[in-house]
Amino acid sequence: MAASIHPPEGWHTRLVRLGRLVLPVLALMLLSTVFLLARSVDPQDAISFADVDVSERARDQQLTAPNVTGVSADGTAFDLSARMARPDPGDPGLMNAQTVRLVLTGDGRATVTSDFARIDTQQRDLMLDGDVRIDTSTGYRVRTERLEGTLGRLRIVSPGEVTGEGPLGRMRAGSLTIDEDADGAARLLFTGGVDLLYTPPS
Amino acid sequence: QNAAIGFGAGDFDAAAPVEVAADSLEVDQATGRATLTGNVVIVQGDLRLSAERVTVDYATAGGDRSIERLNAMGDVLIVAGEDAAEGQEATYTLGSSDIVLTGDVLVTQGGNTLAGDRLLVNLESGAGTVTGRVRTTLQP
Repeated sequence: MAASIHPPEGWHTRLVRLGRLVLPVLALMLLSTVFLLARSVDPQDAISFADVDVSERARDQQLTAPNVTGVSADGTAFDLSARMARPDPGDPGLMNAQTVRLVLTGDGRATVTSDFARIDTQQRDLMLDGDVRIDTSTGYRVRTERLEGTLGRLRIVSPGEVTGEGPLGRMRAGSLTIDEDADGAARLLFTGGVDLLYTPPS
Repeated sequence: QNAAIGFGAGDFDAAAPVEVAADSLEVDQATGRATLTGNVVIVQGDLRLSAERVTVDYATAGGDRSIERLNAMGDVLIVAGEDAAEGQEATYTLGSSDIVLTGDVLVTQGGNTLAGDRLLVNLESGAGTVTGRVRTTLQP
């Protein structure tokens, strides 16, 4: 009786019997190649850190991309930023900064960039040095060697000559002062003899 | 009444570069207004205008600023060729090369002088008219 209920050998059972044999073997083969092809992990080589001399960084403090903002007595907002600044070893209130950018906004805008700056954070005095460029919203683009002054009550002066161009053409002046006039309006004051060369639009 | 005079040689080049010299220049950051003060001298071609103070009016045609007018104040002296004129205030419109000089005007041309209240000169045509109480003194 038992045999009769045993169905004849169909293709399905043969396929299943074959699968039970082939599939596990295939799995074993796959599993073994995984370890064969895996990259060799070398626990010794650590992740590469920044190659800055750590001891030097620890010894002196350094601010990266510092930013000082504030408003002068007469309402001109200033935003002083630099790529890097270090406190002066002699006097902690003084900071030496590199690649400096000072933006003055209030009446119009003036952007001053220079290579170096010494900033007195208490008195808000500053001295900008090295390829100082002044670019104003009123169309003046002038360069000078140095700018000194204070941001408490806006007054920044260039002791040396200023050259560049503006709406009045190419210009040269003995000195430039950026400050606020009697009723608090920001102004550019070129003094010490001003020479301008204007070519009318043809 | 008024008197017509010739002023300057008349072959004026309005596109010639303008040289300006002054003791100081003040720029108002809010409006961009420029004020030159302290023996201001403006030279263009053979025109020479000097004054105590000059303010600049801009024309913002096509975005970039160009100078439309120069307003001179304070013992103004205008020299064009061999003609000269003094006055208290002058306005020089660069585009049309017109100069308006006012405030006890005194024009001197080769020895004889002409006084009046107002001098209007067009540098390109070299034509000028003096108006107001015109008084002439001719050198005998």
